[in-house]
Amino acid sequence: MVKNNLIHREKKRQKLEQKYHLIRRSSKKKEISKVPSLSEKWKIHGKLQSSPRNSAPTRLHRRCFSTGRPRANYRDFGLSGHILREMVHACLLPRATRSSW
Amino acid sequence: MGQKINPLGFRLGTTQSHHSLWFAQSKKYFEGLQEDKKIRDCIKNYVQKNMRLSSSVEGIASIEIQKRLDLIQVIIYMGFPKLLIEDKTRKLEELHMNVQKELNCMNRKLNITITRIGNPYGHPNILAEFIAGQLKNRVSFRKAMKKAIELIEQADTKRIQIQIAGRIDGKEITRVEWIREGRVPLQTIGAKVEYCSYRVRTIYGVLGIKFWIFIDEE
Repeated sequence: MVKNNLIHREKKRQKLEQKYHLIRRSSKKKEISKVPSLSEKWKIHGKLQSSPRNSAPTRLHRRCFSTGRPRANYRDFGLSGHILREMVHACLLPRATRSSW
Repeated sequence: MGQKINPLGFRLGTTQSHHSLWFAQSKKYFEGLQEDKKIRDCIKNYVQKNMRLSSSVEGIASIEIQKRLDLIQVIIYMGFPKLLIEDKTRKLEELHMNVQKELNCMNRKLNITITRIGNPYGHPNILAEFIAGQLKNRVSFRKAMKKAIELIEQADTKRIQIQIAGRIDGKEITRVEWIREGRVPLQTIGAKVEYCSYRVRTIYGVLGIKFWIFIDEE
């Protein structure tokens, strides 16, 4: 099991990312390229920089939701490989079966 | 050494059915899984807390979850539903509220029912909990295994294989001990086998118990 504070750091980042999502979207590349003058571009870019770093979606790191493992996670299940295998064998994943026998 | 695959997972398409039955798009699948996990944890914690008071085998065999658009149906298969005997409606309601708080689902109704299993000791999960209790009380492991076989015979199922691994009898050197009664065809997919792997925490460490029960389909 992963340390609790690491899991909570991820949650903090997720919250901030949701909060600043629209603000960030308004300052992204498309908006900058629409505006002709350079000073306006700087202004929009300034908005992007002023939002806290932890609101950037690139800073999110997916973790297994049951153990918090940072590696070997599958997006379809949100679980790390080992836990995924255990749960499949315990018949807890609907319609997941073995493809070999 | 040869490795054995979990017989439940091995038979999933054919003789074994899933404990969770619902459909979700691939993008929403993991949300459904998280909900399932929350429900199951909530129920297990609640039953454990309550059973502490009455000190008997809890006996949850399995928790089946079926989901539809507007309804979540949870069926708890229990061997000794003490929850049903004392304060039936109140305890069910408490459980219901606990689970709903965990889920915070606005648009879906939650329905929890408890079903009693016919032969409680015919199911490996319940048997495992019983034997675990005995091993914790430092009963000799051979006695515990023989008691398990006795219980199974009372429950009309004759074929079982039991394995205990770890610091048996508190000895320093770990061992694996197993006995088998009757034929347990693990390689036959058409044969319905119930399996449970359970961890017992004794004062000497952790013992792993595994039960394979072959259910004869007539």
